[in-house]
Amino acid sequence: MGALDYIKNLDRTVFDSHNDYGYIAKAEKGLSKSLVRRISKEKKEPIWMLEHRLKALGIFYQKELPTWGVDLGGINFEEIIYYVSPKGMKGYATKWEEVPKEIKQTFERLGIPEAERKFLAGTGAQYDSLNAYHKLKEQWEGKGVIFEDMDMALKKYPELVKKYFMKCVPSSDHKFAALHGAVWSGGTFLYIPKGVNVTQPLQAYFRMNAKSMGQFEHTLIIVEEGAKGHYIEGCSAPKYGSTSLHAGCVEIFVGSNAHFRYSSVENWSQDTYNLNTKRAIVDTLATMEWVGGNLGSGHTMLYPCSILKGRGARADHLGVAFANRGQIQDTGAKVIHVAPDTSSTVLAKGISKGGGVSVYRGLLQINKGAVRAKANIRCDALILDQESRNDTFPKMKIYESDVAIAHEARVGKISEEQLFYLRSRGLSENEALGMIVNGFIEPIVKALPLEYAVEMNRLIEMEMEGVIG
Amino acid sequence: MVKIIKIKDLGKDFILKLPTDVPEFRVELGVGAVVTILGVKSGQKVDCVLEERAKLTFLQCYFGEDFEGDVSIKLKGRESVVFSKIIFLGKDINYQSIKFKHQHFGVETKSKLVIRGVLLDKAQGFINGTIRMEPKCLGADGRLEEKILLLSPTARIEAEPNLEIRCHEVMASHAASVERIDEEKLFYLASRGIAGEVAIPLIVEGFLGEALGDLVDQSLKKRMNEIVFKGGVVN
Repeated sequence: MGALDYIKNLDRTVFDSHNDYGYIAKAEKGLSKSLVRRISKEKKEPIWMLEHRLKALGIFYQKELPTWGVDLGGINFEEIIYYVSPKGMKGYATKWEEVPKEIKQTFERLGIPEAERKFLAGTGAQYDSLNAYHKLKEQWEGKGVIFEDMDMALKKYPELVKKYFMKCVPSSDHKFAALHGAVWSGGTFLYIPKGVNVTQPLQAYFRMNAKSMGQFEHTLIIVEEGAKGHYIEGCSAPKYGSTSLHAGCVEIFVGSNAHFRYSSVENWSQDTYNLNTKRAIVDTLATMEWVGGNLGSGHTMLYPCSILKGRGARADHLGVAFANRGQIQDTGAKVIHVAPDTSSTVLAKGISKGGGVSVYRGLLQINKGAVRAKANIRCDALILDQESRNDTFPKMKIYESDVAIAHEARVGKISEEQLFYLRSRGLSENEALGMIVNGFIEPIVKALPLEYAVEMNRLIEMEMEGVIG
Repeated sequence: MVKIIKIKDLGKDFILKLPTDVPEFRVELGVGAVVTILGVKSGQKVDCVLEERAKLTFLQCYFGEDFEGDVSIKLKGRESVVFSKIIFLGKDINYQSIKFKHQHFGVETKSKLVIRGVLLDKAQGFINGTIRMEPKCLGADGRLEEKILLLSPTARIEAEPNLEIRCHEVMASHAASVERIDEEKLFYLASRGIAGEVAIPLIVEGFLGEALGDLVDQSLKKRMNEIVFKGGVVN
């Protein structure tokens, strides 16, 4: 079976159908101090982590919901299950044969094991609150690369984790960062030592299975001086008709002269509130690249942020958001230039269809002292039909004069001429539309590894189904 | 109490000088009316509504003074058109803030918003420029162009060029840039014998003047020149 064959069989049922989740029959709903203590105890965490969780819980109770962006009134915090360990899982497997059958099947349909064999340096697969599978190829282990499930990393490398954990995105940042700080579970820890160039990508896939689930995985990535790496995250959840919540966190520390790319394809179900927080701190002459695709979730608020802390630091943001019927994709990019000679580019493409709402919400901030900063932002939106909407809110806060900033945005529909041309060449209207949309997002998809680019195109194709009539 | 001013088609361009004693008012342009408005005073709020084929030119300038304004222009009737310009210069410790909206309701409506500004010393500028397209404005075209020059390390700008689009058969775009004076331009002028202290005001005058264009009322141009040349643009 070819590595990309699974893509032909990808349709909504692969994502929307769930496995039996009898294991949550007795799972606790709602949030409490005792739940937080139980999580920490079950994971056998050091005291400082328990204290961190409790402090974050306190902040969560104090903070208000944001007054801007997506309406979050539909989240019933009392009905969410914040932590559950699926039946048959006590820690992760390092061989696919050892993963419980149903869980393994889910990941097989998503093409994970096949991809690992062929293209990846390492793979993590998380199912609800815990990692089901985690493996790093030996050659990278030998070079000192650490690619671990986050829970395990806390046990094996406590000092290293303590040094960096939630220092990039502190619990005090906002309500959902605080919630995350209290109930986080699972996720990925990636450490690339000085000068090591990890030539194959590393991947993690997060799958929510249980109903009314909350997923709070924490990804902590440390790239030391002169190192290079590429990490890919995929996520999905089934559709139930009751809300689920994703408040994960990604923190990336890019050391001087290092180069790191973080790619993600988030394809949650329509029931999901996707309130992820992603942020990178970029040091002297280092480069950070964000490549992201957002589809599926009913409500998304996601703004990957780059802080250009070191002189000559650079950030590139590439993103696609597809808002289908009943969805609000409120996404964008935040770049903060702190040091001199920094540069950034943002290319964001939004598509809305069937009444969906796509929003680009960005911040470009040039702090005093960030002289000779260069920033270029381009956000384009395609509105596919009469019911759909797009908003673009790019904020620019420029506190330094020696800068060169350019921003451009364009919103419109698919050109009749382009459609006519393709149809005159024998393509059906659906095929023509699909081709044009794929062309629109090509600069972003191009940055994904081939297999993911193909999957991304297929996912977009699935979203485009039924666009006519 | 909102004061309402109604203008109908007079067969020629009518230049409207807004009342300075009223904090909030509404200007209604009747079918086919052609009007030029020479801006609000600081602290004022204006709402303009354009009927079918009405044309509005809105010119908002503020040079070397504190300013706070709120302007909203509604293209209600089909084929109505608005061309707005915001031209400003902030210096010393000026605090200048403007909220400007072009809202398309009717079909085939057109709007253009051009913003040109220069900030010096410790001046602070806040610009919120919004193009909004309502659900039925098919064939509408809305553009926003913003260029800001920051001439001192302590000047600050916060810009929010927004697009709110609820109709897909439209064209909407915006472009914004923030820069300092190009070194090459200064070098070129210096090589022609025009030193910095003289060159910079000239460049600023060209930058702002180009946007001002030809005006019937020269007092605005005079005011700008006063600030640029005599007010000491170079530090």
